[in-house]
Amino acid sequence: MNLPLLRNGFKPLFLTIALGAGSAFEFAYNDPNIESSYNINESDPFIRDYFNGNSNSIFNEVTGIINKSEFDKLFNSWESETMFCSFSNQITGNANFKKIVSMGKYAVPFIQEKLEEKPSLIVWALNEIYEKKISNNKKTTIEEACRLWIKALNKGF
Amino acid sequence: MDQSIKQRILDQFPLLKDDLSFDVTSPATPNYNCISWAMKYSDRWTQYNSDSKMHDGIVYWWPDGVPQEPTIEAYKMAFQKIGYEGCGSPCHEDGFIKIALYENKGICSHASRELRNGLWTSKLGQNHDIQHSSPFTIEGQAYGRAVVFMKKKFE
Amino acid sequence: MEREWPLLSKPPIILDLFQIKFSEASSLPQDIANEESKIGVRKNYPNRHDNLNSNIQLDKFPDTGISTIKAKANTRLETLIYTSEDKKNKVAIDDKSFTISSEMEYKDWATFSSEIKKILEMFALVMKDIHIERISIRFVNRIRLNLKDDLTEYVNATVYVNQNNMPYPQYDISKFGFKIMYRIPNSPIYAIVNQNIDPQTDYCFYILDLDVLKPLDMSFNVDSIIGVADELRGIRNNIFFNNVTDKLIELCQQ
Repeated sequence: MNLPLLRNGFKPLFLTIALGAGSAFEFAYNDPNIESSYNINESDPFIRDYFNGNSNSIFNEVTGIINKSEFDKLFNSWESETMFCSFSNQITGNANFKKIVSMGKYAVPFIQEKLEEKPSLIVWALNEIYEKKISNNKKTTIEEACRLWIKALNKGF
Repeated sequence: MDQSIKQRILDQFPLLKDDLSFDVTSPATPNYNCISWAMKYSDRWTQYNSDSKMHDGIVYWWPDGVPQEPTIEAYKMAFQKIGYEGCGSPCHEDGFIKIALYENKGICSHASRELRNGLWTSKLGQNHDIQHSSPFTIEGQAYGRAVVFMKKKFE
Repeated sequence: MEREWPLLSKPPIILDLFQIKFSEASSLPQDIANEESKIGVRKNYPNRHDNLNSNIQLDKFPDTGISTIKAKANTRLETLIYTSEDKKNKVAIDDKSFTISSEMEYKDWATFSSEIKKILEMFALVMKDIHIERISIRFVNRIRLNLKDDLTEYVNATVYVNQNNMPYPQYDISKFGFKIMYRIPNSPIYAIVNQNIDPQTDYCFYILDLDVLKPLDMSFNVDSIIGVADELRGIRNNIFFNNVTDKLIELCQQ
């Protein structure tokens, strides 16, 4: 979702500034006592998370705030488990590989970093995330494909 | 050669420990797999098409008439289509190039190729080529057993 | 600005809440527990969850290993939470607040208000001596939108960006939330409005959380309390219907 652009100046909200000294209230922005409190015991999970401000799983899965060390763990496990595998389905069917793909475009910067270190079959994760190949030329090797992906990503693929 | 690479290979293929001919003969490269290497290609990842044709650098090669399955029988048929015939052993025969197909858990897991000097060469996944004295010294948990040997006249 | 409010056939409310805050009445939860059968709350709220606070004094410091010790405990019932069978409706009481809430499908104000009145009348017996300091209602609305939707087609007040000071391309917003506090003119009433965008897989939730509160000074009287709740409802509706567009109201009619 894009932020709306401010074209003609701030749209006025119907906000009344609180009275100054002598006001009965001090508006403390984050003071929980100033709000209606709610006991989340046995609540619906969405409501519980909302009141707890606890949405780590949403952040990790959907909004892409992916921890690099989590990615590295998956990558290292994948590499070690598939290093001697002979067929692509063994490599792309690996659970760690699938988890990397499921991170979607949020994993791409980390994948790019790995390809910049050295060409790797993790480039196949880019094929699966973007659902396309970087080249339909049968003569394009995997190393060449890695270089083409890096170039394309740097240009803003 | 980084000794840790050799050690990792030896950990995975312990029979190589006693193979005096074992050596790592290329840098690691993801450009080709064992099937390509057995066919003497080093610029593509050749295999039976087990998933969608969406991965860069893979040549999905499967001759017409060969069952679409990763079994030893299917790979044997595939190599027959390109001029190989079955033979009883990996022993060197002048004028012929030989390959070995490995089976692990019911599927074809690897292929290695005889070199002109009688030693054998294998591409280990996305890693290095290695040289070994016979197809049997890379048998083990990773690739299973060498079960089919085939030969083709040198062109 | 007051106007005729549209009736929503599918109000997007996922939580409605009514709360009374009062000067400390530390024995209230225990008093309620003691009079539970007279109050009759368990008929519709059969489950009860207690939070206890206990001071435990040991007669002596325990020896290492397994030993038997005597202790004196001073335990107080701190919070009582009654819930309906399906856990969606709750009545929670502690030494400073009394809260009635529901996570069930919201019908209309009349239904909500009559349920509040019924429960207050049930508890009037025990709560008659409390001194009320604040009455509030809180409604959390949740509306499902597509990720590509333009939020300004649905709400009138949201976060804006100054186009002139943005040399870089717009980035996709993954999540945002902000809070506005309103002071209602010529009254002690204030409102806290939380807006959040909460993305899911291929859609997102827009949360509009309206909390309207009136600090006051009154004794416990059910009719007066309901009168205040009605007043807060008017303000809540003003804020809600002035904040949302016809397009969002249409979504709530489908």
